[in-house]
Amino acid sequence: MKLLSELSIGERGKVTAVNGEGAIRRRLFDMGITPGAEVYLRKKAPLGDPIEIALRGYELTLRKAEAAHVEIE
Amino acid sequence: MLKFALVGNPNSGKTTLFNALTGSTAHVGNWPGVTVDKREGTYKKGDTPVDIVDLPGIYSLSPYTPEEVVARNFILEEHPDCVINIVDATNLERNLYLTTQLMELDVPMVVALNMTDVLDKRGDRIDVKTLEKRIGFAVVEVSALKGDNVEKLMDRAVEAVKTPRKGTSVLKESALGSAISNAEIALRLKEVEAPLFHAIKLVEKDAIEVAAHPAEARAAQAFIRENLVNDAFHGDTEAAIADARYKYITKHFSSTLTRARKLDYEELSKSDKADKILTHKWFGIPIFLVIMFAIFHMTFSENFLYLGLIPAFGEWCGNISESVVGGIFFSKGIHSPGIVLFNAMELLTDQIGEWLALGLEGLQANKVIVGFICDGVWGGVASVLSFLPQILVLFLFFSILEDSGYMARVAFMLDRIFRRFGVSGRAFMPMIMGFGCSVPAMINTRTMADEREREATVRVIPFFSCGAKMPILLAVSGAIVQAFGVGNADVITYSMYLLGIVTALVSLLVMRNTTQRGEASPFIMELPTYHLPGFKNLMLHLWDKAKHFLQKAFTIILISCVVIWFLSNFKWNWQHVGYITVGDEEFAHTDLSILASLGQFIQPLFTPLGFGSQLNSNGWVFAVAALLGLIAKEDVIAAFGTFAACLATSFAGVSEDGVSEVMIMIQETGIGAPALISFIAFNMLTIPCFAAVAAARGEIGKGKFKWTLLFWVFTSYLVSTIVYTVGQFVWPVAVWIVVAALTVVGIVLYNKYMDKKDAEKKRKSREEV
Amino acid sequence: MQPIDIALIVGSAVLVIGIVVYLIVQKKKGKTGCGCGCQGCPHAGVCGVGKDDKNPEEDTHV
Repeated sequence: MKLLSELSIGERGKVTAVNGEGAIRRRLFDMGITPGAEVYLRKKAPLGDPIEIALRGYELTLRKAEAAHVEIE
Repeated sequence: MLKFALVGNPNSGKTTLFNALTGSTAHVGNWPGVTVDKREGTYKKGDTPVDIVDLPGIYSLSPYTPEEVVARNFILEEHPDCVINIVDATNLERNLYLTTQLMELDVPMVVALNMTDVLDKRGDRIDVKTLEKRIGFAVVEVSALKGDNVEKLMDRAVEAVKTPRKGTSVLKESALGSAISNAEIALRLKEVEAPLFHAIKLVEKDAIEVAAHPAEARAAQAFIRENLVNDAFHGDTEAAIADARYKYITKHFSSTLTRARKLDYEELSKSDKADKILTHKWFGIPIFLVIMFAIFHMTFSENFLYLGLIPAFGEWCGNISESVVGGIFFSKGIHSPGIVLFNAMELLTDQIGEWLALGLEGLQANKVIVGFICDGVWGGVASVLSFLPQILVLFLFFSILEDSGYMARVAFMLDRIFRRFGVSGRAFMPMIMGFGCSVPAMINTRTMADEREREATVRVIPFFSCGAKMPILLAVSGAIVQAFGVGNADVITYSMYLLGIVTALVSLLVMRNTTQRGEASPFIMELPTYHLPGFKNLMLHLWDKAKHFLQKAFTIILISCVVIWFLSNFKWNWQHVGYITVGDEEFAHTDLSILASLGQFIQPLFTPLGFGSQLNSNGWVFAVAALLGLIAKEDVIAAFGTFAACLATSFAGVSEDGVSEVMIMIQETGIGAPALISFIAFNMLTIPCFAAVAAARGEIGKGKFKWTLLFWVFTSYLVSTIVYTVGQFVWPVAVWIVVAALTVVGIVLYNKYMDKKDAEKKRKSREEV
Repeated sequence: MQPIDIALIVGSAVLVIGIVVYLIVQKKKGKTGCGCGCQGCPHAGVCGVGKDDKNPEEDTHV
């Protein structure tokens, strides 16, 4: 079990759980990061943070701290 | 009249559709949060006119940012007759997530399936008929960009209004279905409108709903705890519902999409390929800096391609510079496009000024009246007009950057750095917009979730010198170079822009550690596909900007010049100040005017900045000009334009351009270079024009606004004083360093103290729960 | 004063008053006097600058 923030570039995974609280969690859901969603780590920003993932056919960026709420298998 | 609302994700083509429906030219950008407030227009192409409201792009109806609240509140409170949900076919699943929430409201709906033409190009297809059947209301394929099927869409929408619609939900058969039904019944008994929608939000533990219906919320949670067997989410209804929605969408809706090739993220789209370079790990940020430099260079630089370094070419240029095309070449090379256009404009305004003067004198009009028209009115307005080309050039480049989608990438790359200053990468967008005009930039901050971070950003936006400040920059820096032979006009210009940026960053740092403490807002942002901005669109923007600038010049600025002229040409007893003769030229005796006495009164205030009492009796012009900047920043140079003719005692043939006018100011007041730079700095950083002040007040709130005004005055005064004292006397550097060190220590200590207090507060609230 | 002077003065007065009236009318329509306008504003395209559309969910802070 890994966290989304721990994926390397080019790795994929399936979301198993989304933790965190309140608005951030809500936002993650709204953008399609729900259990069962397939994600692919496209790239990381020049300083390693934020990261860019591809899911459900589009590109999303989020910070490592926010990605750390997402559990991946 | 019927009223329809346009609802959809950001970047789904909503505003393009709005423009197609209403015939407006509202701006369509390619980054999240272009529409941050609603826009209204009328659809007149059908049988009945319909009011159309373009709402801000939202991802869901549980609001997370101020702009999303606008959309939610509009639908819930203003009761549109029909909701047109625009869905981006190339991004189906995520777009439909919002659809599943909208359908829960009691309102007729129609889905506008946009960008199916892009899908076709890829060879993918959506079975629209099946989708329509499964969703339960009309789905119309449109192309907002091309205007295809827009009328058909409106016809179906008008049709839909005829049958009142009750909310439906994809969650009815999910594990939470019964909990939702119970809540719905309870709310219906309470006579709540759109009970299904509110019931689901209640079960979801949406904060607004729970606050509105606490008893029902508790009952729902109790029901779930007792009755839900096999709860994979352990009572986490929020997650359960989001999950249920997407599962339903994937199974029933996006299954209507057949792809030509399986979705493979490893396959790079054109957009992804561009991103590989533009957001490259090592080269991404340097590339951005180069692009920024190139933009400024093409606008301001006098020595464009540095070709003058090649001696032979340089000589050739020098020769041509004497001729008619002298505007393009100069003694050391070629001018940049921005400067070329500036020179052209200058030629034009000078010429008009000459004709005016000759014409009026030929008609033997009264000297005073000639002065009024040539110096007061034309002198002031013309000095500002010549800067229009450069304002447009800069604006053009930034528009291209924004519309292409590149800005979102830069925000992505800079987020980490921005966070060190206490703001999220999101703040980058409004800041860049600030280089055009502060007003829309401040409004654009509505996409930032943390209120204090937003306020801090709004406060520093004026430091990103807007287009109106450009005349000040260019005229004064040009004059410094000519009068004192120091430096390079573009270097001074860049440094001033840089000073603004640095001041903004330092201010943010200070604010976020003192009065505006808080977490940086989350940075979960979509990266829309790149697209080349349309040429027609760009030209429309440019024309719009030009039109507004000209409008401003010939209205507010013109009136300001008229007033300034009167105040500087008449004494308190309403008599004309009279003329003094120097050599064979006559000049108005401005020293005796109303404005001069007022100016001399406030002049001492600016002594620490270098343009106060240390100047001679004419020195008041700087203080007055700076004050006039409150009306419009262009007024600063326009004022100089009007004063120039009155004050010039030895400058033969006043030319109507900002640089010569500042030169006259320099001559007649004895001001030095450091004070001039301090003057620029002051104008860059001080209270912006009334329009920007009003915008800031609207975003910050009337009660807290006085602190913002104070902040602007304090910062501009402080920075200008530092610039002047260090520039003029050098030794004050030591003093300022000590002051800075003490301030830093103070802030660090304050922060530690506040951190302790915050930790205690958190502990206490956890104990209470 | 020559007739030309009177003509110029009257002309200027008309112009100035006309502009002031124009500005007042614009203000009434709710357009700002900025270099931006209302719908014509190249960016946010927001009309009604200064609206207090505060988020009811926001926590009130000092």
